[in-house]
Amino acid sequence: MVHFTAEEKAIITSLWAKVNVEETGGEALGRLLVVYPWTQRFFDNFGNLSSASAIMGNPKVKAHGKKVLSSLGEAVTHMDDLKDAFAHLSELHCDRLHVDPENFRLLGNVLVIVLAHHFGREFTPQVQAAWKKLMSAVAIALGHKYH
Amino acid sequence: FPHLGACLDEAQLLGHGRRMLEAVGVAVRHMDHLRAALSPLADLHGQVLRVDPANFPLLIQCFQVLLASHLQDEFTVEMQAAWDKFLTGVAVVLTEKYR
Repeated sequence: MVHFTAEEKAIITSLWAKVNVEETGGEALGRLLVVYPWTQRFFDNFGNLSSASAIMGNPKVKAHGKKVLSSLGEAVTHMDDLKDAFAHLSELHCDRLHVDPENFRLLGNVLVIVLAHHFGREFTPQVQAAWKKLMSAVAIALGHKYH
Repeated sequence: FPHLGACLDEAQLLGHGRRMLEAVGVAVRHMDHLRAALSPLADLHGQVLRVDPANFPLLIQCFQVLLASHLQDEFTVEMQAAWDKFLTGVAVVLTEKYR
């Protein structure tokens, strides 16, 4: 199990407190769909995904992005027991959604870039390291129930 | 980077980083002929340095984090898509001569 130091937890929670979950979620999911277009395969019923601006402005993308990022908020408050916290979502993504775990890593990477984009110089190497560690741990937790 | 030792010397780090960025500059100027332009570097990485191919995505990620945090508003989704595609293409060329 991944262990987070007190310092890492402080870095993660203090940045998270300043994150606009609704906007950041939509931004991250939108960027995933634009930068890695094959990920659009999971969102056939989302309507217009024909261009970057269509994707970034798509209300379903924004809504789903908010949902995904809210789950990540769960991760921030359960850093010591991510496997349990994400057990249900792991089963969902494997058994019903059939999402390859590689996509969790892609989204995690996109989110780190979105955070860097928002926070600028405040997103120091230490902050990046802490968040990258959390994203990797969440990806592992989400893949845990795969069979 | 064994030649940098356990304690990273800032000057060496910056110097090495600069060399890498200059190589990215070469790639930018030869986007349609990456294989030819980066051939010597592909030889170096594949036969001499033998950098683990898994490291390229890590560096690409760090590079984009840097672009995002420095450029902020300018780092639009289109810019991210273009740079991700470009850097991935560079990494493919640099790891093509591994075997």
